[in-house]
Amino acid sequence: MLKKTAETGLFELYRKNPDEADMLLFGRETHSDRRGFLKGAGLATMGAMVGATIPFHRNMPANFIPVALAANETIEGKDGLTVLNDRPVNAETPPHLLDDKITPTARHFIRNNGIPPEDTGAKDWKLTIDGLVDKPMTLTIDELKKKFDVVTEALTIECGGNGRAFHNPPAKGNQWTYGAVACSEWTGVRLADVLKAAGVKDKVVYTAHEGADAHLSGKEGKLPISRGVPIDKAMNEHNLIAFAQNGKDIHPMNGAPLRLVIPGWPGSCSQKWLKRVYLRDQVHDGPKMTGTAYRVPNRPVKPGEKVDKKDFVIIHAMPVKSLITSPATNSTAGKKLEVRGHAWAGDRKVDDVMISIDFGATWIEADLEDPVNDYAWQHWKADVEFPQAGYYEIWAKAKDSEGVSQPHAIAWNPKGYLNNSMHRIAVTVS
Amino acid sequence: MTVRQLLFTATLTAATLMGVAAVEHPRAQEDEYLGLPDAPGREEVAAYCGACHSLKLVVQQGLTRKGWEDLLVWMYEEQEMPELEPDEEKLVLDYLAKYVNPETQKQRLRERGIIQ
Repeated sequence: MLKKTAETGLFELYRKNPDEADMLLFGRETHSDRRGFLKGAGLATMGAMVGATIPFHRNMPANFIPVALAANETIEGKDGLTVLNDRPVNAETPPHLLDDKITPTARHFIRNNGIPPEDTGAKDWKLTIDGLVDKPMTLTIDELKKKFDVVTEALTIECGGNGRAFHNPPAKGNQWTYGAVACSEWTGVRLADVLKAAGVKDKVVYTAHEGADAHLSGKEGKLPISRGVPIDKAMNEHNLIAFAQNGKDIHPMNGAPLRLVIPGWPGSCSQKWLKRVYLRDQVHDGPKMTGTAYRVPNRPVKPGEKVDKKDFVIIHAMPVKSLITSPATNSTAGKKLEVRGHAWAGDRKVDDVMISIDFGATWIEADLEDPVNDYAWQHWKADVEFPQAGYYEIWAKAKDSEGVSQPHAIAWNPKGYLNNSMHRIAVTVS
Repeated sequence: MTVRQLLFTATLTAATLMGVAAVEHPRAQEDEYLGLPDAPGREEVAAYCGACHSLKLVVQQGLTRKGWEDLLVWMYEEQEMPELEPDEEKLVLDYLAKYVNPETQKQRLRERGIIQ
């Protein structure tokens, strides 16, 4: 019953009679303003064909064929990302495309645990604050903006599994290399202000977050991920309930229209498509809070060692790390070269960044800028001079405000988290 | 009809129901198995793993047979995956252990120029 017709069939149909093809294939009717609304089965079909829901489907013109069907591995509104997984979409940014001081939305990595919601319209979106609060509240985004101070900050978000690909033996999960980190400008209201307005009861120890994404199994009501943070961390003034990214709507894959941004901690704490925050008198036990998810052993372990579940502890702040964003690895260069990048350190600041061009034998100190605000990554640059032509590696090593540096080797752990070993790039000098 | 085609059928059900000859999209021109070698178990891997998530997530892994076994149990117990019949489970695990393992994980990183 499945006919393998000519591969060009879809485009052929559109060439002959685009409106008819629209109707036949997707049940899409062309309206007088040339927008073509998709709904129900037609939308589901197109969604299945592109491998994701189409959050902005209402904006698609009539006769429009998603570019994903013509060219694989492109994500609308994203540029140059490496797609690790297309269902659900998980994509990281090559280091040299993270060179901007503020990460453009098109270059912000995507980490999805479930199926993003289709309807990400801001107008009717509601956020509920409840659990152990004096006054449970349900607010629209407009109400959030009216009731609370609106702030904009540059905030670093890094996936807890960034760098997992280098764990040996390999750990399961998306094999992130370097680029599951970004520092965009986020605009929103402070989580702390909203929680204070709701009234945090004395016995609260933890937050719990819920989003509108669905579980991959499709099981109704099953949450793909629901994480939380200790209430002390939640009350930090830099955590935002954000409704804008770089001054515009949040990208649908980055959590539009509303998300948490809890910088410095694993990205999974920053629930996307945020619908609810509730307060609890116990450590939150939602999906991906328990077992071994976003946890590491409570002691250093031998690579490959089997670790008992009870010996895993929840990851809090991310460790100090740096990235070389220029030049790209495997570039060629003359004898003089400007090297630059960013550095960040969880809840801390970065004190210095050192660069080596001789496999770590000698180090030079890079010029390091202060962060534009707490939890923004810091930019560094260094002018290096190569003594002669040949193959070089440039290594970068950041040190945080508590004197802790990036390690050379990976502190292996079973789930492949927190790899903050030094970034190395290759340069051939001619 | 292969198991993989069944999945495509599901994808195209909506179109088929509307009485339209199913039209495959251009992406099908690419290797739908993402380079997984043609051997017993490949169809089952594509169908059972691909039912919930992309095969891309599968082929990038570097697990031992024990690692795959643990992963399967986790998906049964916590991710609503229906349990496979013992013979099918063995087929899937044998295939994965043979063709998606620590060595192939490194090979893929090498191909991407991420490691030397």
